[in-house]
Amino acid sequence: MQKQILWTGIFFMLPISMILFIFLFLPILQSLYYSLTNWTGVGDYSFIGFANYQSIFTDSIFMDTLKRTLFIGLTTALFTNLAGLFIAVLLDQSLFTKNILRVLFYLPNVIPFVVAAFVWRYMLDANDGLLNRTLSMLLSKNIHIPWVDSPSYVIWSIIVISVWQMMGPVIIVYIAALQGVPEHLKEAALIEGASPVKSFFSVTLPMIAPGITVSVLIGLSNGIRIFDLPFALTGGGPANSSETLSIRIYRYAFQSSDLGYAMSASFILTLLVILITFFFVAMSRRYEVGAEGA
Amino acid sequence: MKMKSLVSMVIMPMVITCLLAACGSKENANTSTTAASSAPSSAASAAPTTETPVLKGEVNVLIGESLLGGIHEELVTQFESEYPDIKIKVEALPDGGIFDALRTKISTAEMPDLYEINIGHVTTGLADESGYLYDLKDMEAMGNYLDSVKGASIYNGKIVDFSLGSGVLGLDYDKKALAELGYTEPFKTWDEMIEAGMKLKEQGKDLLVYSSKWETAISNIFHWTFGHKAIVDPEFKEAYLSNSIDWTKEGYRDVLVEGFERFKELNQFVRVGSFTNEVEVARQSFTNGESLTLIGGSWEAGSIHKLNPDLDLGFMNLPYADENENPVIFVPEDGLAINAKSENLEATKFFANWLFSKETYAKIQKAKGSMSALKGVGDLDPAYVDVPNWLATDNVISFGNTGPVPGPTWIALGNAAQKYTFDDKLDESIDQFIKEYDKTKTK
Amino acid sequence: MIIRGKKYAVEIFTIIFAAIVSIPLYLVAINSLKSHEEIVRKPLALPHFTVGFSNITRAFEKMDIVKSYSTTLSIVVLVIACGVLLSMLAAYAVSRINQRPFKVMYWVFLSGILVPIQSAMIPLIFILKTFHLNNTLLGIALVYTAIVSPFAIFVFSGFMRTIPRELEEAAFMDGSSLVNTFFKIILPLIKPVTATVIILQFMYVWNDMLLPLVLLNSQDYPTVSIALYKFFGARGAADLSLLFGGISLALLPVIILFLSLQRYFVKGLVAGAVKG
Repeated sequence: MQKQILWTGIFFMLPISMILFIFLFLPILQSLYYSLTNWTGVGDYSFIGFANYQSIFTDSIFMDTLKRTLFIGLTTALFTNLAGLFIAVLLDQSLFTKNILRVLFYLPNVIPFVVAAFVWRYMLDANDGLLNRTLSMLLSKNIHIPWVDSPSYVIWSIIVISVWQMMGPVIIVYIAALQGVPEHLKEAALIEGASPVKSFFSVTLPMIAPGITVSVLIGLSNGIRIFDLPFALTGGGPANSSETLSIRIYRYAFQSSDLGYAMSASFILTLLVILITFFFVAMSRRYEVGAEGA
Repeated sequence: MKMKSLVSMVIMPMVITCLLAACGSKENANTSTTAASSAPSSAASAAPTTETPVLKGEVNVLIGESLLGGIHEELVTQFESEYPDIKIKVEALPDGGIFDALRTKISTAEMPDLYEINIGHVTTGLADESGYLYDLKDMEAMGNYLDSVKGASIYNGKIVDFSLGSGVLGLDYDKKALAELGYTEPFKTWDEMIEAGMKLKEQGKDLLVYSSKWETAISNIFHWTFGHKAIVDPEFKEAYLSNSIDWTKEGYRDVLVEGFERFKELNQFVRVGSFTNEVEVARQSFTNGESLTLIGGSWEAGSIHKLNPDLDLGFMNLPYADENENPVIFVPEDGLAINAKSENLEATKFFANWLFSKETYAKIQKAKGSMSALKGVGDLDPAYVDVPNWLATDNVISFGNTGPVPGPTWIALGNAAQKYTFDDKLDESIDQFIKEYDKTKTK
Repeated sequence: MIIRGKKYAVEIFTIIFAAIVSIPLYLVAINSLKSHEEIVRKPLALPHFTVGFSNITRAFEKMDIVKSYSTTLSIVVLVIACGVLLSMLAAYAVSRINQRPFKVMYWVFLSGILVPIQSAMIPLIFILKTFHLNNTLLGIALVYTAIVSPFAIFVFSGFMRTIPRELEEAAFMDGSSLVNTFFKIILPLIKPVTATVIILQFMYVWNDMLLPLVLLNSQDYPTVSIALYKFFGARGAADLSLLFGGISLALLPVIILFLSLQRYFVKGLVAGAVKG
């Protein structure tokens, strides 16, 4: 019986593992190899060891970009989850307009980044954008805040837009997770005299822990790998201030002929992202286990 | 039961799609059979009258959607009806993705027979290294080209592409608004232009607007900074055009200092948004009268007239230096290159000769509304009447797109200059640029 | 009464919130009914209905919508059919079998979630060529499957772990095999999650432009995303009316999918099973 289960398990895993190995891990491993060469993309190349990595870590623009990308990733993950969970809890109530509201909250995710960026530019424009106009009206003076044209604001604009975009999937993950919380447990907590807020933290939150892990990962992965949005919104500017790692890698790989360098930059990103994932998942699984035991 | 509905949830769309796909492919099959069946008949009628060399085969073409003015489908239909033995397969990609696709195709040896290149783009060098650039100098259609365009289409000693157009960089301006400001003719000196900027600022308007998304414009004045130095210093010119400037050489760093200072000075009067916006948006601010001038080139009169038909459009060179030393920045547009390793070289050449014959090119030029690259083809917009005279001077500096400096480095220059406008750290910004430059310079 | 009043308050609050979030959507909607010049000149103004729905019909023709829909849908269906089912199976194995190799595989799958395949495009094409899968729908679908399934496995296994083991153990007692148990007990319980995963995978494939750009010849296999992005030309050559018209067409199937999967977000599936 044990043996049968073992074999069935292997049989269950085999097909997807093969697809993953051939079409994901193999190309990544190959690009890891290229990152140790000076390949330009055509012709011969030679093995140069860790020279690419050495020059990357002394590249101040790259290091700034790395920090900025981490900041965007973590902040996006945080706010996407706070907003997403909040909205999911609202939508979990028996509202009349629940179905249409769910669609509305999800739709931003459906709009292609290029278009979203285009529309948001008109809202955030310094000269006569919707936001500045509204602020001017409310405060009855002329407001010309350069939301996307100054290094100090642009990061936050990007975070807001990407939270707006990434909320949809996070909301539906939370809604799906909330479906699994038994009503009677919540009721029991309420009857015992716990406030709704307290019952949310003591009953609901531990029950949806897997949902939280998933959603934070969605936020992190999209935040750290973010490319289309800043690229379409600002092209990485002004003065590199909204440039992310993915944009840098894209520039190395497609706009200059330095594939080896691009691949080492990209491998650093990969490694970073894997470490964060592992760390985060290990932590949250401990929490889940703890919750189960409690 | 529940299981069943879940399965149906997966299966149903599958069935529908298969049906759709079947319809789609059936439709293809239909169109291809009609094409095939109509082909011989037209061939039969065409064969006796035209003396076509017997060329057969399929020519694969890779272009950005707007390269041929969006009329490539009509052109192909016309060509195939005239020469039914040659099939043309055009893959038209979104313009923003064309060089990414080309880059990958070069590395994976999947090159099409005819493909879009930009003489200044890094992919051109890669294509050359892999032997994909065919020398077009003896081709019949090349005889139609203006010498200036031909000269700007040379890479590594070969004429490598049929450019779709040509033009010079400069400032579009509103003639009426300039007159109202008290100027009877375009700015002659830098100071005059800055003075106008101050006057405009008092009125709450801007002197200029541009789009940094368009990489040619991001480091705007540096085209003229380097161009000016190149005119007065032949040694610098050679180093600049071959992308091998040694910035440690005496006086060279001063060129950068001047450029950064001028960039900062001019960009006080720039419309906020220019550092990050789209070409469309910049153009709109200009035609709305929010900004006096627009950094652009002598190819966009068509789209400006479309946005504001009442605008009295003028076009001036940026008054960077005295007129006799001020460079004219000449930029050939993207063009089509022939794959030297093509299995169908003769058919490809035949098609290219047809495409860039005066008759066909005239159609494309009309659809694009740009300045013609061919002798005696197309009309010149009134705004650009002076441009041919500029090109007759000795001050022409010509190159593709961002120039001898590769795109990413040019963008890095723009970013460093923008940084200087925010934080005032001159040496840091200059060092940042030099570092990027040294990374990509020709060794 | 108080409770009812509170409920209305929550409802109204949520609606207002949704309205604020939807301002950009509203801009997309109004601009899809304007001409190019109107969009550029007054992007925030209401449409004059001079162009009516012609943007959409023109986009319909230009995008060759039947062909591009069927191309993208074929890819999506292959990805979902492979990706969802195979990920479920793998997730079941890693979440239920408590042995070292399976635990290791869990972390291997996990590491695949965020790897940026974009930079490995060139090796990927060489691999596809080896299997004669370059420029084929199957080839690109397999690549997408590889990209999206680690995340699916992660989501599935996370939720499967919350399903109490007692349910399956009872089934095992009755002599049910692992395969049987999976289909009879687990599958019905993870429906809401499955719906979520399907939507996420659908969205990724539907909007992605990079893979079709480099892996498919757009003449043979035009995808919706490529057809849409063609309207966004270079150097201001964009026809925004076509772009916004095209968006409506690209959004339609997604909205239909979303609405039709809504019913799987039903309350109490897991809870009911636990009680039973």
